[in-house]
Amino acid sequence: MSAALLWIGVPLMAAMVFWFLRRQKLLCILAIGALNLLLALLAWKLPIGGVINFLGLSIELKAVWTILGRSFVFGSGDHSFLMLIFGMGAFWYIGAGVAKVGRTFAPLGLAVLAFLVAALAVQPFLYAALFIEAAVLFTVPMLVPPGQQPGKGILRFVIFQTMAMPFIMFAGWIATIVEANPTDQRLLLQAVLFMALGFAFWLAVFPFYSWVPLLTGEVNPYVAGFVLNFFPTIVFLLSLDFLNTFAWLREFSLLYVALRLIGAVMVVLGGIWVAFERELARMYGYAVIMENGFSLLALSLHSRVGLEIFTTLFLGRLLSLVVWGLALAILSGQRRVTLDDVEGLLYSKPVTAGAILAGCLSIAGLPLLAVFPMRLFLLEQLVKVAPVTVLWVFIGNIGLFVAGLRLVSSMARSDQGAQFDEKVIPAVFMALGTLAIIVVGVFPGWLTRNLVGLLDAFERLQ
Amino acid sequence: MDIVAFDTADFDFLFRKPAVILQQQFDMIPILILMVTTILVSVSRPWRYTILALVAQYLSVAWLVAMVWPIGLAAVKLVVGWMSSAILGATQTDKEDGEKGGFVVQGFLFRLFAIGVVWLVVFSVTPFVDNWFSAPVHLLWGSLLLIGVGLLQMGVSGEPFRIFVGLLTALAGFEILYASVESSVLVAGLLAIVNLGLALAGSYLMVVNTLEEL
Repeated sequence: MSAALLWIGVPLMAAMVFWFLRRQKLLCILAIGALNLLLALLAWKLPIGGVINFLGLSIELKAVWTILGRSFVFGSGDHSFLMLIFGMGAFWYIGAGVAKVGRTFAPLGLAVLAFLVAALAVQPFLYAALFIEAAVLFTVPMLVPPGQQPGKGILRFVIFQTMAMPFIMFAGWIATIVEANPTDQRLLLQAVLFMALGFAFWLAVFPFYSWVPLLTGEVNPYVAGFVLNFFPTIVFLLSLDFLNTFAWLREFSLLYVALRLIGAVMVVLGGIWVAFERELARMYGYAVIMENGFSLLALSLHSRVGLEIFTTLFLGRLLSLVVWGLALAILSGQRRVTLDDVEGLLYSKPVTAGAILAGCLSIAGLPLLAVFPMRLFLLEQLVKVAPVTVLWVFIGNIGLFVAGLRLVSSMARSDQGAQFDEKVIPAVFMALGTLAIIVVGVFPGWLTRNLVGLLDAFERLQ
Repeated sequence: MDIVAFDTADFDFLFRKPAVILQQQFDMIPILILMVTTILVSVSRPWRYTILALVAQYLSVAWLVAMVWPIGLAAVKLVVGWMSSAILGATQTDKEDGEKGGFVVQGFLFRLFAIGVVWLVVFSVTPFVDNWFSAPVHLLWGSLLLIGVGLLQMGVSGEPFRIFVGLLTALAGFEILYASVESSVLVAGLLAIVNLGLALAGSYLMVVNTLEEL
């Protein structure tokens, strides 16, 4: 048996089976959540490329699966990546039961995960663009369930993600030529330009970011959060893979300056827009843009420490987005919620209000919340190489703090005595999520240490 | 008195074989078809004309791709393009005949002008792009025309139908260019799936508000 069959084939087949069972929504969500957890555990325990003894049978878990001349390769360093993806998947499915998601969310979400894993495993890498495009197409029915009017956000999402594909495919073609002629500066520049444009479209980098707040504003925030968590994570890991594979890309000095500049612009612009935003779901979108900007800043450090910060940022982002998205989905359902609509929320739905604030302020880097330790470490490292950038980033970060303070101000304001109106089961989920944000913020060591294991798959980036 | 210097290249046409000239003129046909279809795709309001233009457009795409690929493989582009057009057309109804608000002269003229600008840009930048891809010039023209008009269509339209037509058009342009550098059957197959997937996603978004939960 090959590893690809286990971590790509099984989720795809399960997605097909659960598609026919989608009317049993809760059952689907629970079963798929459990499958994700199982796949994460198997990624932890099974030796890729080794032999497994199961019920008296010896099964070889092959690292490479070749189909039509192309390969899906899982190295021994891919354990952490598989654990991360399926662990994150399990986490998102836990909350999906109460997040008012559509019936298609569970099976299609699993298929999306399978395609994203395939994108990271496929060789040569230009096929990754096609798998990511397939994943994008599968998200469409998930994001816009039947009966809902599609808005500009989903259309732009499909456009921008599709535009990335040609650039990455051309980059793949030029990269093979550059490998043969590493001294040709013109080719090198072309390859970097194509890659940069491809990744810019995928990651909603400035100026291609307009769809993010539009999307979060018009679809279920939890589903949008799922998409906005997994796609950037996979694309960031793919970018590490590129850096690991191509020495000419690693040594292209302008790349790190450009990453720093773009990352800072994303943080500053996201921060400015979010400070003036009145709609809660759109704030969520701007926070995602800022978070992506911080990841680019971590990459721009061009050091082992920078890469460690880059990988550990995944955890804080996951927790914050899940909790914030869940609270928004429970609060809003299909309608748009503005600052005026949350007046008195601290009294009527204190757990929901707390979850929204925890998610927002965690991404803003408030001390003792999940993102804070990694953010502090990032800024400490960044100030050594680019103090002015840190100043700008700080200004952007203040924008998100201002948004958080505006949320607190609205939620605390109430003209009449607000009645307590919190539902127990969603409140339990949100409370646990909020607690997780605090626990990771106070004790960041254990989980983040495991996340650094992601770098094992990229031996040339050590 | 000025002496006019002639370059020997100016008289190249005198020494070319008639068959080569004929071939070059023949290769211009898909470009001319594309120039017509890009106008139709952009300015025609009834969806039937747009779909018909898309169908003709894919014929030209396959024709251009056949210059660098075996005809059998290039035919995949034609079949997939026609299937995508059929999928997009199948979800249209007479009620949605694209004539909301009727014919607006200013809008028509604006689109026509914009396409003119796209043509101008395409024919101006082709020599520059030629340095990067070294593909036959007809392929570059066809490809850049489609990419330019596709981007224009996506930029000026708000309806899912028009946007997905633009997206498929731009993608077709990319596929022509990519065909000149890569002839893998697997890539052709996967791109075909992506095209069909985009058409399906577009169709879904066009009717999703009228559907009951899946």
